[in-house]
Amino acid sequence: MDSQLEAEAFKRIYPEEYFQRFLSEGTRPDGRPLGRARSTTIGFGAVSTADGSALVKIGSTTLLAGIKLEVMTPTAEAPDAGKIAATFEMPPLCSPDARPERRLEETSVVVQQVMNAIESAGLVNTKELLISTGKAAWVAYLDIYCLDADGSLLDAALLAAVAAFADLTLPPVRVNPEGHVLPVLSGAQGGNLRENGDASSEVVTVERRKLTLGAMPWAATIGLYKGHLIVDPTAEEEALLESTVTTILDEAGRLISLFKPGGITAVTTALIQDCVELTRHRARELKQILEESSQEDEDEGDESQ
Amino acid sequence: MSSQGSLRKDGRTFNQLRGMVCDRGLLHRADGSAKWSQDGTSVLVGVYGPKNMPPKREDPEKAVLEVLWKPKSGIQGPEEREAEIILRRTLEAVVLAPLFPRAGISVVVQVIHDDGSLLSCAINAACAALVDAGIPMTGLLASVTIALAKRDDGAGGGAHLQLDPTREEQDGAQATVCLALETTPKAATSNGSVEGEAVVTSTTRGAMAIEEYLEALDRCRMASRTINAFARLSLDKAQRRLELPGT
Amino acid sequence: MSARGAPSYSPYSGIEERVMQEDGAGPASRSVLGADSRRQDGRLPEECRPAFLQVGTVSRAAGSAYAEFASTKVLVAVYGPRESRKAAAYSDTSRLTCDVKLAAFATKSRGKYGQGTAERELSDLLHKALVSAVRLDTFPKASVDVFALVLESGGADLAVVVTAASLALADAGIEMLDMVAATSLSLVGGHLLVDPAASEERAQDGNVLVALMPARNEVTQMHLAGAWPDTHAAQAIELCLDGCHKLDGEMRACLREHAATANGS
Repeated sequence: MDSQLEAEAFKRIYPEEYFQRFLSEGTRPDGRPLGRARSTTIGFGAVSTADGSALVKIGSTTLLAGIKLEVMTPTAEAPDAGKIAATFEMPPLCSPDARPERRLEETSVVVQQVMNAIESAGLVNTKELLISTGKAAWVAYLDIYCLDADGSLLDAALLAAVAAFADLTLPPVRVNPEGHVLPVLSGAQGGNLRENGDASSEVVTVERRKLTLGAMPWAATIGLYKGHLIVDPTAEEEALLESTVTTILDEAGRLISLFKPGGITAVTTALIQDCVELTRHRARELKQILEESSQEDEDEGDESQ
Repeated sequence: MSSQGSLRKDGRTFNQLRGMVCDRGLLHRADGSAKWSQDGTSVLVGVYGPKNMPPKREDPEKAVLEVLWKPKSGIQGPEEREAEIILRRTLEAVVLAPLFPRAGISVVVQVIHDDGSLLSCAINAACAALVDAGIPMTGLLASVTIALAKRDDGAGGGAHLQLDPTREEQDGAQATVCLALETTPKAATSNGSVEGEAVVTSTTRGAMAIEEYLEALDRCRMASRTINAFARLSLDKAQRRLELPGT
Repeated sequence: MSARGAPSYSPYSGIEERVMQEDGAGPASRSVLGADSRRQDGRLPEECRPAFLQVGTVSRAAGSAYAEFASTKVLVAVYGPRESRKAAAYSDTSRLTCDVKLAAFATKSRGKYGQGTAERELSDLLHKALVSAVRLDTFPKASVDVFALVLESGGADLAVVVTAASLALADAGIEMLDMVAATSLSLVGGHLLVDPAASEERAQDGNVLVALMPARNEVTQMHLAGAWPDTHAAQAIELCLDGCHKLDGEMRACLREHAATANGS
């Protein structure tokens, strides 16, 4: 107990030295080797009020992404496409640094980078969000909430967004001659049966439909500290790091983003190649986790039916 | 258009920067200022400080750097907020902040016109303004944007990398890479050796192959030397003008 | 707490039958309770939803709790006692700040811009429910911040928020006179439905919420809205008190379990 208290005090007073002692042993304060990411889980359909949702945990870092669909009139420039609007929130409960009266600067960076990755990878074909050309289309509101901010938020936010899109189902709708979009109700729900039989309305989709997703982007944040490369840093580690490099790759190995927002160390070509290599490994890992989780999700769905 | 397929719409070759203009000391109330233009893209930056900071925001160990990004018109959107943060962290790489504990340095960026490569232009302008304000730095920054033109544009071979793209080229590109490089090699490598200009900041848009990114990085390195040479030349001229007033 | 004319504390299986006879089985009440006098989700009128409680869910908070009552999902984190940001003059007691937010996708229609009023009201009511239980005099000058996020609004949101918040305060080791358990009840077509689901709340004629310190048997907050026939109100409060006591058992079990696993590891 005494030695534990001493270690805790040492960490508080000399955080750098504390961290360096671990690194010199080739390990990190949480016991991981430098190149290993924390254990990652994905839970699909966490929120039933959303049309698609996913809860992602990378170690303690927890993010919840929800997508809600609303009907809009397509723009004149793109009469055959819907759109995606994203927000990223760090409510004050997620971290001691987040206070109600001020926005953390991470929020604007994360939302921009997540949208950049989704667009650059071509994850969602916005034409699939069309209901009726020139009349109606879906706008997918993607809201990502950080529930526990323990580092590498961009990685987790992107994973949550991708998983929420994988979970998203478009409800069956029809369009009446006035251009209004109405839900197609099953017989059991009664009520609108008479309207449902209206021959003049155009039924667009009868069944709930999933999106056909394009290439999925996978992100890995790598911290730089005195020549060490630290994969998936925690909040505690991020506070000490000199800079971070977030590499995003898709399944085909294309580079979707290489994001290094300044910081006190500059990187060389060789270091960039190292980061890409580490990300390749993590991308394979994430792909497998997503596939396994969605398999489990389907199995559960079958059982409950 | 040109009969040769190797020229761009504005007559430049693929590997050619736009003409640069740098004016210093335009703002009298600021401690340093610079207006940096790359043809159609133009940014004015004012630097204030080192100055007092409110006690709540000061850092006992180093100067606090703050960046204010003012768009050409309207109010700040999420894009501008992101640019503000990226620019601040980029400048933190070169400013010797520990020399001014408890102080603050404000960098105010006013976008005058955006015709592509805006973030690069702003980084170059901010660096020139910091020099003008006499803020000690570890080295100079040079920022370059490169567009990867879509292959079906008819540009063959390696010619599809367009240096310093205009807005039109940028919007039509398959991908863009914006890099800020530092001239003083203090780069960290895994084996301790150092090489040319190291990457302080990298942002990308669109998908590309790793090799394409690395090629873009090499081109940016080359171009950054041109930008640095220009920045030093314009500084020399400004100083000579200072020494010989009225000539 | 015994209200006028209310029966003494007793099992409530008989109440619903009587209510049904009095008010008749109008169309509204028939849709609320099925033929077997069960609700849409299969519960009896006085039955609470199954509660899932967990503490220590937010790693960097002083204390935190997650509560899931069927589809109502709430996460609460407590920070502090810490330096008060609102640099007010010296005060012998600490400040308790409460902030409740609704996730944009928590409600049926994405509410982002319409949620502000509801958030302010929930924050205010949460503060009132907790403030008399927390021993603020033990932390002069400091502030204890309670932040709640409703991830999914599935009915009886405030009661769940209050319950989770008091668990999070306990997890943070903030001194309290007692934990606060809260239960709400909807009056729908003459029926008293404990711990209402969202669909029942939408159809309600009246609502009552009771926040109780169970060990002391003291009410920290009671909130009654709508048109209430006299006898119903008293019964409703008794039903809520009963619910609070049941909930208290689960809250204590949750804390004990957490303490056991923390010591074990």
